Amino acid sequence: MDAEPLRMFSCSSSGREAVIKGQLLPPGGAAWLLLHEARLNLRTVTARKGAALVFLVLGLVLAVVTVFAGVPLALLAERTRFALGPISILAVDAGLVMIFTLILSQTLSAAVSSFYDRGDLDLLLSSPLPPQRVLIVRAVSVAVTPFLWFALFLTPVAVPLAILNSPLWLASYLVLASMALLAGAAGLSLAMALFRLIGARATKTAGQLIAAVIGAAFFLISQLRNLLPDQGASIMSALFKKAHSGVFEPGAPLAWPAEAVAGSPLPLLGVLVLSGAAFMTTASALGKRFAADAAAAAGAGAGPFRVSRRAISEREFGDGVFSVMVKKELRLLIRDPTLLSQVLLRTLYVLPLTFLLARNAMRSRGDPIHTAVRFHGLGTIAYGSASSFSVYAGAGALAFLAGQVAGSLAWITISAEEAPELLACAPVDGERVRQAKLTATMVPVALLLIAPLCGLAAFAPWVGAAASVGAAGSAVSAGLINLWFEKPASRKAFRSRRGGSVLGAIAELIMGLGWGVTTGMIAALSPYAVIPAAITLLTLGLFYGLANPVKGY
Amino acid sequence: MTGPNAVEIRDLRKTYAKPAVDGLDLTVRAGELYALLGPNGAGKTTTLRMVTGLLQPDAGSIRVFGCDALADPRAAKQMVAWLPDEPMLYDKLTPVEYLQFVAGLWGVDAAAARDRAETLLRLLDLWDQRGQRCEGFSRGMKQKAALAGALIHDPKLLILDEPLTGLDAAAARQVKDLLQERVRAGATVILTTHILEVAERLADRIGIIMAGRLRAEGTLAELRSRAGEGDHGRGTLEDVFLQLVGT
Repeated sequence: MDAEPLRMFSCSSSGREAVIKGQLLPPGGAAWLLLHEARLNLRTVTARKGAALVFLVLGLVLAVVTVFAGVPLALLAERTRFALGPISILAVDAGLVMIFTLILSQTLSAAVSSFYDRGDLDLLLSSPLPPQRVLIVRAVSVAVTPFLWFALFLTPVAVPLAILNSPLWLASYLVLASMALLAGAAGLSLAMALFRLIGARATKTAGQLIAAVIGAAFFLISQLRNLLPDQGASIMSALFKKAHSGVFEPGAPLAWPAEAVAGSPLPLLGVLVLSGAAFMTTASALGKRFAADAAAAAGAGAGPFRVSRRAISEREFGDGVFSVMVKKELRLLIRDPTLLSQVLLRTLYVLPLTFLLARNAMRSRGDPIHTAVRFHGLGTIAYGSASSFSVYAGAGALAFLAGQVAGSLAWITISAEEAPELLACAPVDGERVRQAKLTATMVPVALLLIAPLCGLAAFAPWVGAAASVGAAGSAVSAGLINLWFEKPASRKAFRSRRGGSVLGAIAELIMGLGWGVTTGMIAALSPYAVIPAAITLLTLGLFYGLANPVKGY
Repeated sequence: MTGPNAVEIRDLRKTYAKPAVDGLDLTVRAGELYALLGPNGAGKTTTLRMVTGLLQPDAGSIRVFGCDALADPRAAKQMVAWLPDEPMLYDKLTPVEYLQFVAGLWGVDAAAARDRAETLLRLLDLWDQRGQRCEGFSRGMKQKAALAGALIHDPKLLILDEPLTGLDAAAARQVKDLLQERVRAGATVILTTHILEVAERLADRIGIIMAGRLRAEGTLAELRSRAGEGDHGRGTLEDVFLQLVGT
């Protein structure tokens, strides 16, 4: 028998052979696995249609921010010989906590998804690799994406500071990497803790919801002043007092994270060692459970089934096409954990806005001081008190938000249809199906916004009416854009809308902004509202002309 | 007096990079179980997708029970059910909710839909799981739920693409029995399969398609004869098939 084919299947115990053959890393090692994951992730990103355009636009935005914000900031730091003090340490620490919560939100969500979406997890766990190694690679992998995003946003500030002030500012990247690593391990630990506490089936939804709450946590804390005006203010003043009491003085333990960002060697070493140790401890402690949890996730939702006892009644049948379509879409929306977490996240963002709007609407009624907003060449474009301006802005924000939520829901109902062939081979009118889908997307948007809109209408009826019309216009526009730029995609791609239309996403954003500005100006009774309104409607018409949907049914 | 044929395809053409269906003529009689066989890439699925209205042909005509499927697709679709190899299901719906949805799409009367739903779910052993979401179902259970969806509107023509893929022996038996029962009840069934024993056992007539054209058609005996085995040949359908496609 020919010996050559046999060699293909022979194992190298040390991996040295592979290195000699030209591979850089020994097969099966953590670094080799990481390289494999990196290659797959890179191909996923670059394979996206329009990826080059997205990177180009992102690069331009970063360049503009670098020139107009990063460079002046670095020059200021150099001129004033900036040194960290209690208040700046408090600010940097707060920023780091905010970034950590945002990264943790992403890593928890990614960790939960990685259990259920499987990918190559079954292959890795059925191989002779130790599960600890697979866990380490998975934890690093879920941390890499948020790290890269935040590193990108950090660059316009960190690089000018490093060039014009001190190269030590580059240490901020190391601190960011440490936080991402820690968040990666924490995300996986949280996911696995949820597995133990509530089981594999419930973790799928609960994990996404907790990730949403963690993501909004810092925003909610920052809105304490709006949510609880008296207590919020006292918390803030107590925090500033603490800053001056020595707790945030340079050299104090709470100052270490901020000092590490500025490149101070000992705090930087401390942050790196602490995060590395926490990561490795977590990986080795949880490694054995990892394979068991992954297996549990694979079986989540599978039998044994509870026997259904409920009889099926005639009333459950007999609905027409429109009705069954709307019911089906609403059922699928309600039962989608990823979507639920997104809607919850937006609800959490709406909550403080609702309080703020109601309070300012109440205040604006008796506000004696009015100011005029002038625009070069147009004269006075709006007139009102400071409180009323914030109400107008809030009305605009609600309209923008309505478009964003409707856009997400419309994408999932229209483009991410799970059984397009079923609809295509059914004796139904495709337009009727799309109308039903659009209607179904409007229901959750209305439920989400009904409280703030009613609250607003109670205290400022005209503003409430303007916000309601603006929100409806924005939501319908977003829905229509998703119909016009329909592009069949997998429901699993919802979070990143992978495979979606880039032009559609841009159109959705422009429409949201257009409706937001128009609503705010109509609320302010500005006659110039006609300008953004006309631009918005013309742009909508333009996008209708550009539409080239790939209809799946 | 005989009614129209279930399917009449004339000079059907569809080209992607190369011709997938190349001047196909095919007739399926009403009330028969017709097996469409052929090697991978022969054009079986493309043909059936054009019959169900999922694909627009480049040329040719398709009539379903006398109705021009290209001129009046909705009327044709009303009579047809399509079951692809990958079940067209919604993971987050229960079998009952799925059947409600499909019944709504085909405009089935409430009382009839309810009765058929119960009958089908019991027949396919899904009655006890009628309240569970399909996401936890095995491949076979999903395929059976999809089959129930295909039958809820009592189609005159049932078209199935590899209906037994991934089914265990018991589920495959249930599906085969159900298909034969539908034919006894007067429906027409067209199926594609790579399991030639299934075609041999179930089909009234068999069509063998290659490179988008019908290579041979008839009963097993007729195909044996065509393959040069004579009227009393004992070759299996596999032998005949391999001989006819020249592998």
